[in-house]
Amino acid sequence: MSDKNSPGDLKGARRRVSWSAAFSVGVPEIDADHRILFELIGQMRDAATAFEGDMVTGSVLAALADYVDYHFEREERVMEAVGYPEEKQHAERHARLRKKVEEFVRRYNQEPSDGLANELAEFLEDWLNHHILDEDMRYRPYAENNRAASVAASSIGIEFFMDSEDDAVTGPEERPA
Amino acid sequence: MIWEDLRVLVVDDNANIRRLIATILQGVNVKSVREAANGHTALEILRSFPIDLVLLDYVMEGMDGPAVTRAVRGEIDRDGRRVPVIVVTGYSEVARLNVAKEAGVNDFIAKPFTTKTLLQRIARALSQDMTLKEMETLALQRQRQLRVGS
Ligand SMILES: [Fe+2]
Repeated sequence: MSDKNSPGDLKGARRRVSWSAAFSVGVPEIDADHRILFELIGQMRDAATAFEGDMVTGSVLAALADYVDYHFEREERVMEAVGYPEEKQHAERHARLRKKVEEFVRRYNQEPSDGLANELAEFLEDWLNHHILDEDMRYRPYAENNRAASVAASSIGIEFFMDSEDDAVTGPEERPA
Repeated sequence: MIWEDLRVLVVDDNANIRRLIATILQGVNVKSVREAANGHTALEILRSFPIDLVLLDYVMEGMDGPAVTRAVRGEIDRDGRRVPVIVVTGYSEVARLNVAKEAGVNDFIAKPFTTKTLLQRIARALSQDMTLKEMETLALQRQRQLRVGS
């Protein structure tokens, strides 16, 4: 798979972005999130390309949407903790992206399609790529080697996913016959 | 609950589902996720490594989810302790779910699933069955037994 990231690769129509040290924003927890997001974007492409259908692709899409929320929450806590002066504008960008992802998920749930999943994957990959390099990098000088940043970054964990009702159906007794 | 120490086995014939679940767990710092593409391999892993939780596909070639669960209940569980088994399935007709329930499955997750659902079901299954500490002790005992036996 060494040619996967080469710009000259014609087969995949476009190159894939994966996390590398060039994307590091100086906060390990945030870097780890970015890795996961790139990984999930890749998985969504793979699922859509393999015509996996709704059970797989829909699950990847949901994971991506969930992790976007999780990650933005972490990043916003860090920016606030370090007194990043452009936090508000940055959080607004997050809010806009969140809306966009929600809209994609809504459309997908109405009519699951691999094309739509691919479209979102490409859009998100571009967005994340530019957002990290152009926007996230701007808080790096405030956040790196900053104890307040690492405290804030690790203040969010598994509880984020535990706080509200889960949405799936449980066992046989809870299903209509 | 210490998610970092959790040892999970994901059994699914679909590689993309295995990869997805592994990534989701990695995202919340679960360090140990093993994967099996079929029931046979799953049981080999369960015999050789301490596993705290099994996420199990229903429909698979060879042994299906209920068959794997029966084997877990018969062969892997020890001292009245049950390894939590959650079936993750796209086929959630009542008849199937009942078969799985009778086989000893703890819970079900319907595909497609959200991250929230997956993690909440895992948390619930773990808190129902036993504390992680208890599981650890048990898993260590099992490992010792295996070593003695070989
Ligand atoms: Fe950001």
